[in-house]
Amino acid sequence: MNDYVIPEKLRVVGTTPIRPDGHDKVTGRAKFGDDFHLPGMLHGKVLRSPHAHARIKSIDTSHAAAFPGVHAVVTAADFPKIASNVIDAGESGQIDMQDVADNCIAREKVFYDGHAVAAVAADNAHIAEEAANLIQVAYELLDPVMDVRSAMADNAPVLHDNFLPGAFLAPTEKALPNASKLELAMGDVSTGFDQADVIIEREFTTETVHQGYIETHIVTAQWGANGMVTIWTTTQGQFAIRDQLALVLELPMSAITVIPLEIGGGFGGKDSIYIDPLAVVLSKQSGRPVKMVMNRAETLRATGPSSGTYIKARLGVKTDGTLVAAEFHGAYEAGAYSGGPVAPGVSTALTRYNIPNVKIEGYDVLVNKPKVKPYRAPGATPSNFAVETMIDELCRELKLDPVEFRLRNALTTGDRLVLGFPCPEIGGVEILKAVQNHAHYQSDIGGPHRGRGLAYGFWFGAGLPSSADLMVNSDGTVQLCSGSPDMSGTRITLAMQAAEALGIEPSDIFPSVGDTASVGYSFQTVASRTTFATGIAVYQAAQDILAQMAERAALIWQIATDNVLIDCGRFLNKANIQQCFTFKELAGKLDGTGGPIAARALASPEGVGFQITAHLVDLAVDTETGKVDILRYTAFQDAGKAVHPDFVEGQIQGGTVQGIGWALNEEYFYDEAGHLKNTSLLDYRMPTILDVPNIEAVILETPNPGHPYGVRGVGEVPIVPPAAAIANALYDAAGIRMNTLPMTPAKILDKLNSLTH
Amino acid sequence: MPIAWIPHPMRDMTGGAEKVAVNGANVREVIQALESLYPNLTGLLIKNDQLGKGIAVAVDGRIVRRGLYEPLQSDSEIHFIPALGAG
Repeated sequence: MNDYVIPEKLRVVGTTPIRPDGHDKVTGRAKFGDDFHLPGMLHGKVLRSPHAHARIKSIDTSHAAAFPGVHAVVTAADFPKIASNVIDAGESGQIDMQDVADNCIAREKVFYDGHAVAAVAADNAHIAEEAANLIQVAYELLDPVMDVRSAMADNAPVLHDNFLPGAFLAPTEKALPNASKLELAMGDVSTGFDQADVIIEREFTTETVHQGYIETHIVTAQWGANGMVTIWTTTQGQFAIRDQLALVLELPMSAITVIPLEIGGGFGGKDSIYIDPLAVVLSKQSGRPVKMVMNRAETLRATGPSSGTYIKARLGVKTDGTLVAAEFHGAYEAGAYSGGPVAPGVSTALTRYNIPNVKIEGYDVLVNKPKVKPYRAPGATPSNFAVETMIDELCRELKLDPVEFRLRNALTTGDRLVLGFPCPEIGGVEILKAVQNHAHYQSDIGGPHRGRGLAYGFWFGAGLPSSADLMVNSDGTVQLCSGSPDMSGTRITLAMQAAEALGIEPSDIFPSVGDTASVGYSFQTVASRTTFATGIAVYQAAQDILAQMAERAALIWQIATDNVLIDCGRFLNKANIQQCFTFKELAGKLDGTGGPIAARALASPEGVGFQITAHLVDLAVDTETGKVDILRYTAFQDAGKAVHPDFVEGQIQGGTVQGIGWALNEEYFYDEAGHLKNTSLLDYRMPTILDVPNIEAVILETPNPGHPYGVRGVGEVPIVPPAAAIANALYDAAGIRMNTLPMTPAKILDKLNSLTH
Repeated sequence: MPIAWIPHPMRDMTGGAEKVAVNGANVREVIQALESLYPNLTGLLIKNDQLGKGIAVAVDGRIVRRGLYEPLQSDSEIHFIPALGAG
């Protein structure tokens, strides 16, 4: 595939028009999941397992079914046992659909506290809940395993006798009773460590965290009289929901229409089905539409969080600061079913440095927790926390400036990645120099117990399939419909790319998100891919529109199409430039020259621009309470080309705040029996506006030649470095080296006390 | 001749070789050529006539979408890498 020639000057891309969906969202008119209602609609509720690990001996639904107001009750027995269960999920690898189905409703065993066992549809949610509690389930309790090291022990309770391993080219199906293994390497680490003057080896642990999207999972399903199923839901991918439903219910994909409503946050956690198949089967059985709303406790107990981890790493460096060898061992929770973020987690652990000798081991580990799901750069925050705090330690031991150290070792274009292939265009050096030259880096911190920390982060991103439809209206406005749900302002960033390509104004484009029956297939809004990949689909559709309009101009002027010059929204006769149509003028002539014009493009771009960032944080630590106050925070990030700089800034700020929460507060608390104890947002403590200062975003632009305007994804990498940057600042402030997340006041006090004893 | 880079877990099968030059017009043909040199290697890369679970392929520095059918140039580099996923 050839690189694009990126225009030197862009007219629309890089500006900051108002998003078309903004007003409706801030005034409450936009329709989110819970805003949707149908006449005659029933309400569904789920009975969930109170046990972390148990075999289901029997389920008696008779009392629930007889309860007044109940219209349907379902258990796993109402769902098909899937015949062909492994599907390809693009760059996400393959998915065992029987696991997906069993995660929605337990078949033989429950694997975590909150695992769905049965569901009820009733006249209202209160009746449904009361009836669900009348369902009697007999369990045989099994020992749970709640952390990766216990799960990898020889005598660990085994979750699954067989599982699809998340391993990479492992010669055996299961490396351990509950785990599979991934290995990567380059060079010779033994030789590398022999060359090192200083070697450090450290261990780290991080806890399970949730994406914390404010809108929970909500779905309304209607089984039509003709067997056609319609779903209204809040999701990162309407086609993913459709396809997963089709596979677990053994229905044709074409029999299911998924209509995406607005989404109140996802961050990777809304890419798959949970209550959706339950709502469909309840609707089928009751003959009525069924709405299901997960409450916060259900969302925390039974949807996919991000992995807790155990990491052990070893770095070797020469006295001049050159990294010569690295070993990284990362064990990532997969949750109840295999397939956690171990591959991206360990693959990004060291990728941003050019280290000649590297050995990496990753383990995908089954534990009795919900099946994990992606969370903004999945797996990269824990591995970055480990490596970047070790880099800070090396800088201090060698008395080297932390930016200079990173510049000395920075991955640059053409350097080989640990994956083997050469790094495409990357602006890491520019990022680090921007840190060095920034007023924040050059300022004094001032005051006791204050410190500054730096961390450097990387993320791959992805391409994957996207679609876009454009239709020209007779007044010169354009309908834009994509298959990508809008999580972060992508309606306007896609409209801007269409406007740039067509030579018209963004206000002349009406962008919308299509349902699965009305627009071409698109992979989910994940992987920082929508403005990049769907943007390419929009660009390609726009080129088609321009070509078709040039044919119309040629028809009117009775010249060859090749003789029509397209210049920024104008169509000119090359032989007589006095003959000229604006886009709007020519749009008005379509009806008399052959009819309306539309175009569809489906793109699967491969020229992904990697994401690189550095975060700089100042903080103060209260040595009596252990409380950390973030005083100043600057995030430097390469956007390739910031299509809408305000939204890039928003992505950087949002991801950073989530990273701060991961660093300081957020964690799942399980008791020894595997019960989740903090099932509300009072006890699962996410940062609020009171906890963080303004995050200053410094946007750099090293264009990605794989996109016509140079775009890289921006949404994921901001969550990667905050934990390490804060840990490094804590050392600077108080001399304590943290090796566990979250860095709660209690843990900080323990470390402070250990300094004085 | 295209060059196939051998993933670390498979290097026991190639006598430690990190990269092998083999003929092939697409990724599938390269794997077939590798199999003739190093028997049993195909079973790790291909399952059910597709790239195996968790495996992606990068050709000339780009993770490609056509998998086994990706066409190659005479000087192409092929890398078998973990499928990465994202959020």
